[in-house]
Amino acid sequence: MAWASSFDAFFKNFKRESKIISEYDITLIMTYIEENKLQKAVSVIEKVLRDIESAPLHIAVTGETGAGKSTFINTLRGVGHEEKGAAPTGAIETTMKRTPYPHPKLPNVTIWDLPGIGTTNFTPQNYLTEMKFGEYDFFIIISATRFKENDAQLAKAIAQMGMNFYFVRTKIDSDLDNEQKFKPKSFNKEEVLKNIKDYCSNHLQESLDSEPPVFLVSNVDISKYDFPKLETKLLQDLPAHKRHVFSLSLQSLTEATINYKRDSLKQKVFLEAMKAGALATIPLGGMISDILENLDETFNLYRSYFGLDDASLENIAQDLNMSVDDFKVHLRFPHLFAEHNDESLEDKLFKYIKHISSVTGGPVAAVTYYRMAYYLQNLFLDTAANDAIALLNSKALFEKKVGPYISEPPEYWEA
Amino acid sequence: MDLVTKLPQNIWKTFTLFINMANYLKRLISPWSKSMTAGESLYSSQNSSSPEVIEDIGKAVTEGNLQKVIGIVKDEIQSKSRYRVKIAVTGDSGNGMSSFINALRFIGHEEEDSAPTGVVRTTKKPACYSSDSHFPYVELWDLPGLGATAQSVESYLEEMQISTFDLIIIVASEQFSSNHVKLAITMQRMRKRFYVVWTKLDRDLSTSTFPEPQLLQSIQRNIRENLQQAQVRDPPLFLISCFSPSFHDFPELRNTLQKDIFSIRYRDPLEIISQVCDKCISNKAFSLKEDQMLMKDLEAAVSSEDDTANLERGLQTYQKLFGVDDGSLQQVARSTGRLEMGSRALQFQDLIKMDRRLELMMCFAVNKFLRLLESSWWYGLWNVVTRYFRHQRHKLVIEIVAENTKTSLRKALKDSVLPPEIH
Repeated sequence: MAWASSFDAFFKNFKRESKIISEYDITLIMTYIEENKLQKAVSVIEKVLRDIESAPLHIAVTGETGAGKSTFINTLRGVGHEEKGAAPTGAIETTMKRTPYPHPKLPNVTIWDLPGIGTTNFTPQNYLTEMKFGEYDFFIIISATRFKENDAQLAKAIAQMGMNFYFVRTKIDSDLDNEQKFKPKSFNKEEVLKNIKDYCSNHLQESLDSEPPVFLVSNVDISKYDFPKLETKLLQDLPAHKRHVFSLSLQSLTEATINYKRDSLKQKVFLEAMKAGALATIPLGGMISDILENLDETFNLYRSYFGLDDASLENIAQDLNMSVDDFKVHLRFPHLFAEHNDESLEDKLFKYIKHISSVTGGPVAAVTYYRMAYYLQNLFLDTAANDAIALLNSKALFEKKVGPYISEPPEYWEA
Repeated sequence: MDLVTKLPQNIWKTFTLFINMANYLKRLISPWSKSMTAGESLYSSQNSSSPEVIEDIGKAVTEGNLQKVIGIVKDEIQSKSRYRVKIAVTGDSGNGMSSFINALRFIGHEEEDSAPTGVVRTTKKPACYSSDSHFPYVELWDLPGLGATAQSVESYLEEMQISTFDLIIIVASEQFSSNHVKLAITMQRMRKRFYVVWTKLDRDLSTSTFPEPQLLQSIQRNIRENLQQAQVRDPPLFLISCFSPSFHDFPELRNTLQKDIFSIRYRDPLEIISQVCDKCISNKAFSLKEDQMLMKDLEAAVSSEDDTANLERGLQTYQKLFGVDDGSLQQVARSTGRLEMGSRALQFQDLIKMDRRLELMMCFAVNKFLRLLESSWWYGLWNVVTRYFRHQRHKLVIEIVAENTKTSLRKALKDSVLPPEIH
């Protein structure tokens, strides 16, 4: 059946770490469709969507206070240091207890601040028991100085319990500054970075049989060095149904992050369209504007995920010394569905749908309400994501304008 | 019948007075023994004198030759001017000990004599650094940090031979960890001088959302709380940045370090010598009090002297024996070149006022009591009691002269022996 092949073709567009549905579930749905058991296929899709929506995610961050742990946690949560509920920075803590920090936008996501093992007198095994290791999806071990034996023992204990950990070496910018200032004659940036990474990696290898990766991170500009790789690695290792909520929880600090969010949302939109479209074949009735009106809330949510909500836009405009209205003129997404004089929106959309479905797969044949909603959401996602990516490079923000805009149009939209 | 009634009343009065007087004197005498115990030194010291020197000093003290004592001690302390003070710098690996050593000496990290620093573990064996311009005759030892290996703090301290160091500087940054606390506990138990130094303050200031005074207080409070929980008395605590060797607590740190180096080099060995002198003086006093021949000599003179004259002659005898008579003290003053030093021996009138117990024993009531006994038919008892009180008075005088000797000798040593650097 055409549905089955288009279903499979769609998910092949995404890299492994971007997939929010397991291969097993994809195969199961395809089988049911091929066997013409649509009700069962819909049931599986519903379950997948429910799992994606409600999957809890608990991230444990452990390490010494003063190692940049609080800054790292605040960055993961997209919270400034002085905001309410932010992990305190600058102060020195003596807490022996773990502290939960819920994500401000995604209640499913909680980041736990665990005291560094060096502040306790627990053995690594007792430490994990005390910190209720079974409640987390993975551990991030933070270090800001030399590799410590405590870190090695902790990593070993986590691995022995069959859980994932990631070693993060913070304050890399500070180390580079120090090395350059103290040793101006012999300073070599690549060499310093390699030394740090090799040093940590070698020590971890001595304690573990495997060769776990080490991620170097700056606390000033977290998108530098290895943070993007860390994100990719975390997504790869997470179960499929937790990737959606994790990718959305990340700050839109890098192009890769924005693309993860786009891919994740597109898959969710696809699954929703499949669920709805399989049961109903309501012909397109009414105007495109009616559908857009119904999607308004959804679009606002997407803007929020990409850091393009009104509050965020105000901050960006303020940084650029512009008014919000002047600033918005250069973004595509606010003007995406404005009427064109030369061509009706419907005709333009039909062309877009024809191109994109022939390349990426997806719902074909009769244009229904749900399929139209599907393509409209995809169009918006691409436009918003491109705007968000363009905003990352604030220095060259207006030099890269395409016509009046700072970002590229979505693929096939201008075709 | 009159004789019979008169006698019992007289006996009763005498008996009551005797009992009260004995009890009162006993209470007065006992507190003295408590103050006899000399206070222990606050710090253990590596900078001690040889047994031969100690023996020579002890002999001179016993001979009552204070001038000789001062000469020996002066030579000994002068030989300490080149004593190499050993300072250990330790902490968690990566806390910046090597950077601290370089900053303390005002040198960069790429110079020939720099302690190697870096972003990976750099110090793996103890290394000695010196700075003759800033810290002459001082060895700064850069010890490998804790935590980089599985070694326990106890094993680490043993391997580093921490007992051979005069002063330990515990360096911390990022986190005042359990290792830092264990180091502090051990230093206190070993009675070692130690400081806590918090480094990388520049990092804290650049990333903190608190104003600087609040951040500094927060860091200090946190460290002190950790130490208090472990029953560690407050050590000197300094907050610094190795990028700014002249700012924050660095000047105060250098000041304190210089003073402690002086103490380690001069004051501590002098204190030990002074304690040796104190002990010899106490032993001499004890011997004199047990000297039966001396007591017999004093006793033989009783018939020709009254008590006051007898005691005054005893005082002069004891002062000569301890070397704190007028002649001896003037010699000491002349040889040390400090004529302003009190060169007058303790006078008899001053002696009476110095001690309540002696004043009491010399008072009118006691003498009347003794006269009462003398005139009664208890002549035998009078003899025993009189001899007892006379002995007690002389023992007290010996104690007072011994204490006076200790005080005079300490002052003379301090004034004539310590170099004038610190004043």
